[in-house]
Parts: sequence; C-alpha cells; structure tokens
Amino acid sequence: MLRGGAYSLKRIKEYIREVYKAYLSIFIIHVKEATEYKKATFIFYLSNILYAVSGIMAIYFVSISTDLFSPAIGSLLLFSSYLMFDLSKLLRCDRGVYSLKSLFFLYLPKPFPTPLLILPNLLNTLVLVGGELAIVIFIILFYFSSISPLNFILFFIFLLLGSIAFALIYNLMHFFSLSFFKQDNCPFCYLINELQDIFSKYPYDLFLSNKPLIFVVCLLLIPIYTYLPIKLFILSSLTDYLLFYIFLLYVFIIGVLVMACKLMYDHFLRVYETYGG
Amino acid sequence: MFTYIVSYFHNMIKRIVNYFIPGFKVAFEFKSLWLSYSLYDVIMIFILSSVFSVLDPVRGRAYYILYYFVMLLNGFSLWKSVRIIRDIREGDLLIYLTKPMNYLVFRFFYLLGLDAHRHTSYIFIVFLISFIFLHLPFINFLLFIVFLLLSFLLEYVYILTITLFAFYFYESVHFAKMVNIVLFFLQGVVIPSHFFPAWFKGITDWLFVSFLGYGKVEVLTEGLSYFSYSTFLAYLINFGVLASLSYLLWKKGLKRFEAQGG
Repeated sequence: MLRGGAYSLKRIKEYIREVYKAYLSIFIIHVKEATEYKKATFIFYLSNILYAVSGIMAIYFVSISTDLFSPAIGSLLLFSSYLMFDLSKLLRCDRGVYSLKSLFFLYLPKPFPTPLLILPNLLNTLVLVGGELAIVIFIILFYFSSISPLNFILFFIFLLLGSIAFALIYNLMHFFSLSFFKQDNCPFCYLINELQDIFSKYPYDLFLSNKPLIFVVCLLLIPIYTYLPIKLFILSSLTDYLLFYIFLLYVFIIGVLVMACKLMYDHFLRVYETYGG
Repeated sequence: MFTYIVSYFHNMIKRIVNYFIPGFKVAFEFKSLWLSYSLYDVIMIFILSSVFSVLDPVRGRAYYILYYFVMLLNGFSLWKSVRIIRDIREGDLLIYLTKPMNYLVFRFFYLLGLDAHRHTSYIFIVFLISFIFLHLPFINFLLFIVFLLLSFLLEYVYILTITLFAFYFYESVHFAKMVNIVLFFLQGVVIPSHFFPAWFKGITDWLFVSFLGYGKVEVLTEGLSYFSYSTFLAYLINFGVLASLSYLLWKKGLKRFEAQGG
C-alpha cells in the first residue's frame, strides 16, 4: 500500500504540501481582507462576543432560576463547545473550502469544485479558536485547579477528537444535502449546529430521566462534541480501563464517520457528474 | 372620499396578494425543502421543549411546545432583514432609495408567502395545543390572532428601519446580523422569558422585541389580562420610534445619495 497507489507515502507528502501551500495563500488573502475591511472585521468579532455574552447570560439566568447546575460548569461547557465548533470549521466541508479536511479525505481526486475564498475565514477562525482556548484555560485554572494535570491533557485530547467527529458529521450531512436536495443550504447542517448550540449550555446530566431525549441526543452523537469531554475531565474516579475504552469508542465512531463520508461523497460526485459537473 | 379610501385599500390588498402568491407557489414547488425545514422545526421544538420542561417541570412539555411553535410564527424572522439587505446591496439600491415602501411591501409579503405553508400549519398546531392540552379559552386564541397581525406590522417597521442601513454602509448585512443576535436573546428564543429575572423582563417588556417574541405566548396564555395601559403605551412608543427612525434614515440617505451624484 505504501509503495504505490492512492495511499503511497509520496502521494501523502504531496497532498500535505499542497494543502499547506493552499492554506498559507488563503491565510494571507484573509489577513489582507481583514485589514482592508476593518469595519466588517470589527463587526464580526463584536457579533461573536455578543453571541458568547448571550450564551453566558442564558446559563446564568437558568442556573439562578433553577439551581440545577453551577455557572462554572455551564461556562466551561459553553466555551469548550464553541472551541470544538470553531476547531471543526478548519476540518469542515463548508461550501468547498480547501482545508485540512484533505488530510482526512486522502481519496479526494481533486479540490472541491468551488472557489477557495468562501467562508469560513481562516484568520477569523484561528483568532476565535485562540480566544476560546484562552477562556477555557482560564476557567479551568480558576474554578478547577484541584483537578490533576493528566485529566487536563485528556480533556484536550477528547476535545480535539470531539471537534473531528463534529466536522465529519457536518460533512456527512452536507454531502447528503448536495446529493439528495441538489443544493448547498443544508437544513440538517443547521439542525446539527443548533443542537450543538443548545447542548453547549445545558449539561446532559440534567436530562437523564428523559429517555427519548437522551436517545435522540446519543443517536446524533451530541455528547461527544459538547459535554462528554468535560464529564471525563471532572470525574475523578474514572479508571484507566474505562478511559481507554471511551478513547477506542471515539476512534471507532470517527472511523465509521470517515467511511460514511467517503460513501456519501462518492455518491455526490456521481450525481455531480450526471448533471454535467 | 369614501369611494377613494375603499378603492385605495382594495388596490393595496390586491397588490399584497399579487406579491404573496408567487412566494407561496415557489415554496410549494420546492416541497421537499419545505418539508425538510418543517422537519427541522419539529425536531428543534421537541428538543427545546424537552430541555425546558425538565428545567421548569411546573409548566410542562405542552406549554413549551406551544411556546416554540408560537415563536416560530415570526420570532425567528428578524433574519428576513439580512436577506433583504443582501438583495439591496447586490442591485436594487436605487429602487430601494426612491421607493422603499413599495420595495419593502413586495419583499416582505413575498417572504411571507414563502413561509405561508409552515405558518398555516403552525397556527393550526397552536390552536390544537391551546384547546386540547392547555384548555385555554377561545377568546385567547382570537386575541392572539389580532396580536399576531399587530406584531407583523411592528416587524415590518423594524425591517424597514434596519434595512435602510443598506445604503449607509457596505457592512450593513453584518450589522443586521449583530443586532439580530441581541434581539434573538431579548425575544425569548435562546431561553424562554420565564427564566429572565424580574428586573430584566421589566426592561424587555418595554422593547418592541417582546411583541415579536414572548408577548404572543403571553397573550395566548393570559388573554385579556395581558393588555394593560403600559402594554399599549409600549407598543405605540416602539412603533412611533421605529417609524420615525426609518423616515429620518430614508430622508438622510436620499440626500447622501444625491450628494454623491446619484
């Protein structure tokens, strides 16, 4: 397998070089755009700050009305979910952005057939990821300083795996929409985004008694890219074996999602070629 | 005089229907998309009502299902302004400057036509839930329909105001999105208004977003007791402020456009 064919080492190296060059050129273009369109950039960051503020207010209002969960857990959940969401943007197939997704889709025969300069903006995404990471670290150091450093490392590993899983689910829905609805505006992608947004505010511990809800939530793998990394982080009695099995579960789910995306993408390419693409 | 007024309203209604029907037909043509968005709405409502009925077991699931179906009627539609601004910036700027009301009437009712299938179904669902599960009096539902029409009027004036920023600066789409994020929260969409602290609700009750958002649910559940002098005053003040602001923005915008050689 490594000597020749689609998965040869030479091909992988060429791919990585291609992705790196594309990424760098897009990044430079986005930096120039940000400096040229200062007002739009300012409004973009202000919108994200307002969005985060509305999330914090929602958590705060609900936690003081109900006393069901602490604002500390709620804030950590909110910002780590935003972090997973923004990290996943670097991996997602958002209207054909030629991004790091290529590393996970080595079977792609060509760049996704749309212009390169479409959202998400690489510079803005990296700034958001940086900001959210800083806030998450601050919350952990301020409210959870008694937890061991190993849990801290595991938290970030599961967070990264969660963002990969989210990106793959998003891609799967996107390819599904392109194949079966023949259009880019994917209602299922909105659904996944909205569900991730809802469960970025409320820990699923609150809803364990509601079996249908928990079933739907687990079916859509929502805990993986919202609360599960935090739950693993704060549970001090988790054994090494259980953590290892959870890690294997993540890897298994990601593997299944990669294969599902490949099948859906191949189907999309066939549909695209049928329509003269 | 009377004939003139009747003929004016007759022509206006005819025009509105002519704008409404193409939107309605387009939505019907793309049935699968309409059904997928409706399915999306139903799933979202199931999830949200499950979440909030656990957080607030007193009101229960039926109440929160009703809450979010009512919010769907125009609570999520502030985003219409973003679509309109985009269209204006991409080509209809001059028409919008010279005939903003005509333009807005066309776009607003076309978009209403697009959503008519879903809105009709949701009003029917609201009607069913109100009577079968919550046993609300029929008069509440009638008041709700009247209030819904008044909230559409206020929504129209708000969209007129925010879209007038389209000929002030290029980033008006981003500006509208930013404003909508704030209003989305204040309307009671992100979390239901029952979770707002009393002081916060006291402020939002005076803003126009309450009439577009959770106010409709309160009319349905409280009926006549929702209406007080402060409610009428708040509505009139908000309508007056938005209408005056839109008029000023339009006048200034025209002068600015003429000064630039338009």
